[in-house]
Amino acid sequence: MKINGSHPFAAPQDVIWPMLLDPHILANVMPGCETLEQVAEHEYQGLLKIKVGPVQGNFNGTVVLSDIQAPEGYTIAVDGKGAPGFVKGHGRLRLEPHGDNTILHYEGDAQVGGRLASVGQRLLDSSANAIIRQSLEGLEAQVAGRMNGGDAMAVAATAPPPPSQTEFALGVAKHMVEEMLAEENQEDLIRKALIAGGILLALYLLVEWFAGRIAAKTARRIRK
Amino acid sequence: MGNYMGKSMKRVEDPRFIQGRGRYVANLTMPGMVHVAVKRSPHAHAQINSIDTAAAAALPGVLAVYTGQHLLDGGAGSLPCGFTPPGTKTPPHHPLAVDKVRHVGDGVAVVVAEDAYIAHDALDLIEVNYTPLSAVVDAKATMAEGAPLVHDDVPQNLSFHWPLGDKDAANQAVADADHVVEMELLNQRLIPNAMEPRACAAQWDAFMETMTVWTTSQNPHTIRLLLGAFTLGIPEHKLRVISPDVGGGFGSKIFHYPEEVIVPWVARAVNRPAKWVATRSESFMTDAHGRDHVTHAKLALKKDGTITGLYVTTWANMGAYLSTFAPLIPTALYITLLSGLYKIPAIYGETYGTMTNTVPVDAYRGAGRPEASYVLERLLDIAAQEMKMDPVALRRKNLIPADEFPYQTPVALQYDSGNYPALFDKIEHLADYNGLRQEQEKARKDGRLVGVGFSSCIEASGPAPSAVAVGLGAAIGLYESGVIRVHPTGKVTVLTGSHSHGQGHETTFAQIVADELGVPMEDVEIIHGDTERTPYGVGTYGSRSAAIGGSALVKSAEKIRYKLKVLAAHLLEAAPDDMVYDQVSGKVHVKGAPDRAKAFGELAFALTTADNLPPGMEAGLEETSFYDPANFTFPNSAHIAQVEIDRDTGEVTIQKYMAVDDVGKVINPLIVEGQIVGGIAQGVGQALWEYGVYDENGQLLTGTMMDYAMPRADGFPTIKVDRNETPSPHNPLGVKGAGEMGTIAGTTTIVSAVMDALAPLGIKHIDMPLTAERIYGAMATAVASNGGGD
Repeated sequence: MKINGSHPFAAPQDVIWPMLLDPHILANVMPGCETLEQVAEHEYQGLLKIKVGPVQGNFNGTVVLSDIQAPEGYTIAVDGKGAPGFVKGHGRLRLEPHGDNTILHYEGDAQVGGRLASVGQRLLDSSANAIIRQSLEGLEAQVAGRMNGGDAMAVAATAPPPPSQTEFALGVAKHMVEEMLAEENQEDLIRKALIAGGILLALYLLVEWFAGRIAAKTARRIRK
Repeated sequence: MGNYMGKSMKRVEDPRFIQGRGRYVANLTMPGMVHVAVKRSPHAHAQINSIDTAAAAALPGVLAVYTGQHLLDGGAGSLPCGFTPPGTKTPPHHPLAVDKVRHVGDGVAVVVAEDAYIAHDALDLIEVNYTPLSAVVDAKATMAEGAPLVHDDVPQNLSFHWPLGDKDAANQAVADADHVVEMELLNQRLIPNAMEPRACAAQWDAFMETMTVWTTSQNPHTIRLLLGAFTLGIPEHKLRVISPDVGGGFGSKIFHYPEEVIVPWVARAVNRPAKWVATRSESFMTDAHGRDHVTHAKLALKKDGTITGLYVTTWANMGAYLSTFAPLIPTALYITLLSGLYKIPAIYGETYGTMTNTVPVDAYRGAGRPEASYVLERLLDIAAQEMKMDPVALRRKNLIPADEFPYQTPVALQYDSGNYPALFDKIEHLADYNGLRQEQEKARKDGRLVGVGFSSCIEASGPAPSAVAVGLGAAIGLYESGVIRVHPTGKVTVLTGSHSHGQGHETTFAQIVADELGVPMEDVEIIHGDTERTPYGVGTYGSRSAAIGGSALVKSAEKIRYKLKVLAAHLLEAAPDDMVYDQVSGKVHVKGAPDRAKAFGELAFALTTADNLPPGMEAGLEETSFYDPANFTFPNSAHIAQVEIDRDTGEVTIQKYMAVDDVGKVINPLIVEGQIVGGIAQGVGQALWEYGVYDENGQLLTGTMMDYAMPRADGFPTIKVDRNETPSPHNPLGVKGAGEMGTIAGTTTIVSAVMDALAPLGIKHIDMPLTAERIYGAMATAVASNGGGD
């Protein structure tokens, strides 16, 4: 699975760079990241909760940074495994100054195995991209906080909790729609996507509501 | 003769199946039964450094956790391969991996728990430390220099090389030909997907020291033999293997699987009954897969379309281990069939059986014969296209004439019977072939992509004369057993070594025996699938049951009739030679005097009282036969289909499908039609949809029903079937195999039709499966490069 993209930040490079090395910030912005701790210089250990389609579970993993060229970029190697399988990846992050702003470029290659590959494979690309996007958006919020004079750690402490399953699913959907738009860029398609999205959301809420009622009913019955 | 043979009878087993009263292994419960779950490798190829089972073992409800080393130390043997031509490299296959894992899904440990949920939960607590290794998945690329070795002692990942035929003559034919078609073909990997996942249960009797194993097998006696002699070490007389109702096999349940060793081993280790039932995910990643060939082929022809030679080289993916019959499929069941229905003076075929980091590949419905038919029929279609001949006319030109049987092919087989020109006449008539071509011409003028596909094929079914099978490398003979046991009241129990897992033996075998003895079908009960009740038998695969298992019953019935004639003669005070056995009424009477008769039940009872028997006759009425066929049977077929392709999407619609098959004499036309139609659907599945995909790291990408496209009823029109009956001359029933014809022909016919539809665009060949995506891609490329041809 190839991953690549770029993301602009409204802050200069020297503000972004230290944040990319701060495990607390990274743990906070990454959806599903429960912990991320530094265990050696440029080596981190963490626990990531992942849900890809029907496959979900905890991944224990290490992140090793190398070839660090402050404040331009570093190479990152991820090695994680858990009950649903394993993830092995490597990639490169690069910061490019753009006036007062900075563009983050990333590219990488990931290998997955186990249930994650055999069952979740169809949803993998979209999910991976959604995780990255949400991480970047989270980072953007942190950057905005810091630019507004806040202490990054304080912002991190008050940062919103990782997205719920619904939010994550919506993130994936959003990413897919955006990808379609990038390719086709037709107003018609936007309208269709929005309508389809609306219907899906309505259905989802309906199903949730029903599931809730059934669960409540069952619970009542069991109590009796 | 007879009341039942040749009649369409509804299957007697169906009421219990459609009412949910089938008895499957998964239904089995026993007091104190524990559940087994298997920890499987997420890596295609990795060194096992350590396995930490402490957390799993500590989970409440878990009785034990065992690793490959425990099994090895506890005497569990390597799973053997039952077909190894000389020189075959057979690497060990431990029930649980010991040092290395070699495919995704390879077992590394098992959990034994009070219930199946706890067992599965505990799997997640087992920590396996792996060092991943590079993997190799492609049948041909695996032989490349520097490719990772799946087994250290199998250099080049080459298990065997199997040549057959006259290489020089085939080369000469190609050199001298007016026209040569040369192409590379992929026959993609298929995943069998029987409706019932595999399952195994076992009960150890510590007092009697006997083991009973229930397993979803097509051949319980073979499994008992292998368990007894190789893997479990419990002698056969202390071992009982039962295959109760089994929900489909298609070949995938022939083989001896690791769980058949693990579950009884566990049952003995914990001294409690044990059961394992595969999840659908486990089916995808551990059932033996099918096909997976890369083939390079050359067909030599004269200007007028006469075939002069064929040269075929195939790389057959064997997967990570040699499954029970794996090497047999791309060799003796493949190269020997390359002559098809045609006179081909020179044929040479060779197969490289290679090891890869994928699930083992073994027999899957058709097994070798669909691959052979696909190669030959694709070559013929392309030859016709290139030489501007009608594809049916080109084939007709090369057919073996009806008066040349028995026909000796250059690739070992001797075809016993057939009338191929008549077969062609029949299908052309049934399908209105000329009409279809006219329709196509009109459609093409309207810009529609309509194709007419044709294929003919032959199958060597009913394996096999034991001397031939063992001569080729099989470890056992392939005869079949049949017992007819007549009870004192004249009711009949039939014990067969064949196994029914969808074929309907309880119906067809009852039809055979009822007619052979002249008793009502309701009085005949068929027993199969239990090594303690039935004599040693070989089981069901290769469309062998009717031809071999049925013939064994005919032989036993002959012995019964003879005994009853001698007895009746004694009771009626006549000479045995003057007695007539009336197979309609079951009465034995004196020739010319139908009133001087004894009924079947009377005679059976006389053998029970046994007070007035002819001198030397033993009491009781039970006969056993072991029938070994003189040859394979050679069913053959010709199918025609019409398809249309949507220009905007590449989607294929099958508009018409017609089939004429020669399966010899037919016992039950309803069942045969079901077999043919079901087989066609399965064959079309390969042509259009199914593909078992591994990525380059050996990860199985098609591990669910969402990713692996099975055929569905809405993809098919009503299939028209007809028969061209030429009885097999060497079995007493005159039957030929009917189980695999449809699968063999279905694939080639639909590929032929799709490629015919795409011919005006200048597209010559697309590898299967011909999905909308692939067709759309090929159309887009064709339009870009030549403006679309038409």
